[in-house]
Amino acid sequence: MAIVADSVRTHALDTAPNFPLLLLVRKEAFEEVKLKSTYAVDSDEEQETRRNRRLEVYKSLHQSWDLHDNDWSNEFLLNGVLHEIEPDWWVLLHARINPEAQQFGYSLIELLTMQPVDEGYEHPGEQLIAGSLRSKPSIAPAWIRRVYLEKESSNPVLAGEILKCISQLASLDDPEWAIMLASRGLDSPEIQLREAAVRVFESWGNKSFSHFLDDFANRETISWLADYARDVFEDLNE
Amino acid sequence: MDYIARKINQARWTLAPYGEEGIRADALNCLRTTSDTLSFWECHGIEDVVLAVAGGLDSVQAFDLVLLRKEHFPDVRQVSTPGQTAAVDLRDRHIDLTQLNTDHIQRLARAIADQVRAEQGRVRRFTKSKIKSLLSRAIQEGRVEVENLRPHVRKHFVSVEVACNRCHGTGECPSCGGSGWIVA
Repeated sequence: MAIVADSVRTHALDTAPNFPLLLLVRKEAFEEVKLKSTYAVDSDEEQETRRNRRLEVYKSLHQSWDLHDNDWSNEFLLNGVLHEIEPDWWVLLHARINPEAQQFGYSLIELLTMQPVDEGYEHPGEQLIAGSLRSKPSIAPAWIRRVYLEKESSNPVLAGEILKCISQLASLDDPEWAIMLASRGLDSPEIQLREAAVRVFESWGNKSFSHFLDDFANRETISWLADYARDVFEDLNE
Repeated sequence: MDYIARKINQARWTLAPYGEEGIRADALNCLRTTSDTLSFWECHGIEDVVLAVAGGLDSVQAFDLVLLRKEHFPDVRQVSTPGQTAAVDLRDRHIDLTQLNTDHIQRLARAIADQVRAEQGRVRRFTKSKIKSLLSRAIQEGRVEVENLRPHVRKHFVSVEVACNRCHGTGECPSCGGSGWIVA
């Protein structure tokens, strides 16, 4: 459990200190909890107690966060986290989404929903992302990450469109955050997201990140996509 | 000139992860018409089509080309129109399929899906490095003028000094060595 706490805090520290914490909680951080829980053999009674505690925490969070029906975090709480984590950890997560970040997310999703990305042609979402990275370089990656994480499971095609916009940016000062997002996309069951993820590697990857593509190409079942990943892997290693 | 080619994204045409075997509705994003018209290139050689498409892009990005037999669409009106590409010698190989209706689109979609899903289908992905290499060769051969390329494509083929994107030309950062300029 201590490992998870460290993990959560680490993600919290990689952006401005006043930024909402929830968006920084990556799903992987909780997978360790899930793994650990598989080692423990709980009695039915213990499992029931745990379920009740989760429910209590969810109810209190719902009230204290003033969540709305369509709030992404609501879905995130229900699907992504509550099933994986002990209620005690929620003390770390009391925060609200920054309104500016929220507006950025709404605008980006609206632009991507109105018009799909046509590869090689500039998309308004790309301009929005580029503008945010220019005006708020320290915090905009976290905004983008929040929107991406929100859509990764609920609308993976849209998450792929976000990655395509990132891959088409004219410049990116610090591409590591983009590569980390793309590395998650490689594991998606949605082919459009996996393909978009490879595009990010192709645009912003380098030799030190190429192992992601090597692993991906070996497990990818769609042959043309595996070939594409191999080609990009070779380009990055040239 | 038996084949016509169009830029698509074959990820949209591959089978959906939820087990649906039909053509995904998202695939129609590759067949978005304007004035009931879709743009194609007559295919004499696949690399010429890549060059023609790449010569009109805003930025170099990987894309797929699908080849379709012209004879499969005898009832579709095909009009030769100048293609928007920096490869001047290829501009007259551009054709528009015009007066399209939803039946035509459905047949086009089926034809593309068949190519994407066939083991030896006539669809191929071109990576950024391949596209850059073809553009570079065309520039060397005088088929493409660099100044006719869009700015974000042009930057791959010319070295120019621009204001440092970290210090914005003030010279107050180590990445530009204090000069305020970097080679782009």
